[in-house]
Amino acid sequence: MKKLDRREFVKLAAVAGGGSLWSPKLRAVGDIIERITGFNPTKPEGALEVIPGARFVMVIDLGKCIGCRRCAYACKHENNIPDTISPPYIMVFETQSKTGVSGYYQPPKMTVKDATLMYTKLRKDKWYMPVQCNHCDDAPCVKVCPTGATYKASDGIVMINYKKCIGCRYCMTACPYQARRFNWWEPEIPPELRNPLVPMREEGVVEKCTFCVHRTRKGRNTRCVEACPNKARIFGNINDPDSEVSRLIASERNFRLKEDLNTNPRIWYLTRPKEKHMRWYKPLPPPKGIRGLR
Amino acid sequence: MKETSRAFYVFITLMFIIALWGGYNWVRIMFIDGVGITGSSDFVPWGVYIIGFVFFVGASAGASMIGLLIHGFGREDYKPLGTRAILVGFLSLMAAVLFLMSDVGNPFRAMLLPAVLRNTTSMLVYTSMTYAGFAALMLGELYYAVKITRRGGVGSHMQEKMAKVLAILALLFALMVVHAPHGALFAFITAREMWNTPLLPPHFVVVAIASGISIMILVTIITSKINKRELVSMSTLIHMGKLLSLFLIITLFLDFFDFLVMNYSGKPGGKEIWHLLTGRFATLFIINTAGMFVAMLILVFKWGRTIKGLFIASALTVIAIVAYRINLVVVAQTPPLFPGIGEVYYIPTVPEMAVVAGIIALALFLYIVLTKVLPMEETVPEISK
Repeated sequence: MKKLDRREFVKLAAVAGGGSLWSPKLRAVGDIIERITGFNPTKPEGALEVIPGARFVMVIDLGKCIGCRRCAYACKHENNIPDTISPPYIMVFETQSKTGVSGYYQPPKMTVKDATLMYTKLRKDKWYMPVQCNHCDDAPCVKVCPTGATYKASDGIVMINYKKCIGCRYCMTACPYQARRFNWWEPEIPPELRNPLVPMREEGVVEKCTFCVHRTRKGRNTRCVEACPNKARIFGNINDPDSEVSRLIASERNFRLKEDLNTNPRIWYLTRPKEKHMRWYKPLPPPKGIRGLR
Repeated sequence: MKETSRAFYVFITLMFIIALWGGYNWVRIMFIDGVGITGSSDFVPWGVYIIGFVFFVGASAGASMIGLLIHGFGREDYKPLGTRAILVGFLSLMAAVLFLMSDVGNPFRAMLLPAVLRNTTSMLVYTSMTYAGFAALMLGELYYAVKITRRGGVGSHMQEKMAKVLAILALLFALMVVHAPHGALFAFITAREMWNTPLLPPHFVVVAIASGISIMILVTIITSKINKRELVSMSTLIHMGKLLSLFLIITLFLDFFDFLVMNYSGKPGGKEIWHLLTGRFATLFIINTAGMFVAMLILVFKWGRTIKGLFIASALTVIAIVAYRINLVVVAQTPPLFPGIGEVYYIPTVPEMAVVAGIIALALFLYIVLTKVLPMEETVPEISK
C-alpha cells in the first residue's frame, strides 16, 4: 500500500464528494481505490481481449432440438455453476402442438433417469425451446444496472463484472428472458471439479450466460454448441457474411424471443420443418463427469 | 424534560429488543447463513424489503406536506406538528434506506453507489443520489424547528425565513426528485406489465402524500391520547382528513384508469395481472381498493369527521397502501416470464420478517426517544383568521 500524496487525496475527495464527474476521472478514482483497498471497482475483471470486428450471435434450430438438455448440463459444468443455482443458465421448455407449453424448464431431480439425457431422437408431437441470455443489443439489464457492472462488450457479449455488482437484482426484474441468476448462497464447488478458466462468483452477486467468453474470444465454440448431439445450436460471427450463422439468418425462416420489447436479441430461432431431420440417432451414454448427477 | 411513565420505558425497551433481534437476523442473512434464507428467488427477486422500501419512501412525504402547510400556506394551527412531522419524515427515509441496504447482496459495495460506481441510465443511481439531499434538507428543517421552539415558538427573522425556504424546497424535492423517480424506477421495466405504465410516477407521488398525511393523523391522535391534551384543534385534524380524502380520490381515479386500460387493451400481460389480482391475490386487492374507498367515504361525509372516524380512516389508508405496495412489488413479478415456468410463489421467511420488524422498531424507538429529548411545540395556537 502506497501513501496518498496531497494531490491524489484532493482528487479523491473531489470526485467522491462531487459525484458528477466523467469517466476518465472515475478511472483515476478506481486506481486510487485499488491502491488503498486492493480491488478496483471500475476495471472489468477476468475479461479477455476482444477479437476486433467480431459480433457473436447464436442460432438455435428448433427443428433439430431433441430436448436432451445436454447443453444445460454441459453449461453447468463449464461455467462452475454451483448446485445452489437452479435452474442453470439454459432452460429448455417442452411444448406440444395442442396444449402449448407442457414440460418443465429443468428436470425435477438431477438424476440420470429424470435428466432426459437419454433422449436420442426427435419426437413427433413434442418441440423444445431452449432459452438463455439473449445478449441483447439494447439490453434492459445493461440500462438498469446502477453500478455499470453489467456491460455490453464490443463483440456483442453482455458481460458482468462480478466485483462491481452490488446485488440489487434490478437487472433480474428488468430481464424479459429470465436469464439471470442470483447467488443466494455461497457457491461451493470442489476445487478438482472447477474450471480454472472461469472465475468463481461470490455470494450476493448476479450471474448469467457469458457465451462462454473464455472460449469464444479465443476462437472456440461455446460449450453448449459442442455438447449438442444434434447440432441444433450454431454459434458464429454475424459480421462475417460467409459464416454459417449469417447464411442461416438470411435464408431460413426465423424469429427472436419477445421482439416486441425492442431488446434486439442476439439469438435467432429457426423454424425449419422437423421432418427433414427425422431419423434415429445412436443411443448416447450419459456424459461423464457432470456434477450433481446421481 | 417531561416526566416519564413506566409504560414509556417498557415500550422503548421492547422496541429496542425487537430492533436488536432484527439486527441479529440481518447479520445471519448477510454473513452466517446466506441470502438464500429469505423467501425471494430468481423468479421473484424483489421481496418484502422492497415493499418496505417503497412504503417508507412514500411515508417520508408527510413531513414535507405539513412543512409546506405551515410555512407555504401560513397555516399556523399546524405548528404543533412541525417538529414531529420532520422527525417522522426523516426516520421514514432512514427506514427506507435501511430496507434498501438489507435488500442488496453487497451492502458495503452499495455504499460506493452514487459517488464512485454509477451508470447514468439507471434510475436506481438517481434515487440513491436523492437520499442524502433529502435527508440534509430535513435535518436543516429540524435544526431551525428546534431553534424556533427553544425561543418560545417565534424565531428571529432569519430563522423563520430559513424554515420557510427549507420547507418549500423539501416539498419540491420530495415530489419531483424523490417520489416521481421511484415511480420511474418501476415504470421503466418493460418486462413487467404491471410496472410498465406512465401512470406510475404520478401515482407514486399521490400515494406518497396520502400515506404521509394518514401517518401524521395517526401520530397526532395517538400523541394527544397519550399526553391527555389536544395537540392540534379539531378543525386542524378535520382539515388534514379533507386533504387525505382528496389524495385518496386521485389515487382511486388513477387506479381505475390503470386497470381499465390494462383490461381493455387485452394485452396478455395485463390480462394475466388482472387474473392474479382477482384470483390468488384477491384478498390483497380488495384490502387495497376497498380500504381506500371506505376511508375516502368516511372522510368525505360529515358524520365521519370525528376523532374515531379520522383514526379509522387513516389506519385503513395505511393498511390499504401497504396492500397496494405488496401488489405493486410482488404480484407484478408473479406472472412467469415464460409459460413453462409455471406458478411462481413468494412467501417471506421468519428471518426476513424479523429484519423488517427490526427496522420498523428502530424507527419507532428513535422517534419516541427523540420526541422526549428534543423540545416539542406543545401549545395549541389560536387560528388567526
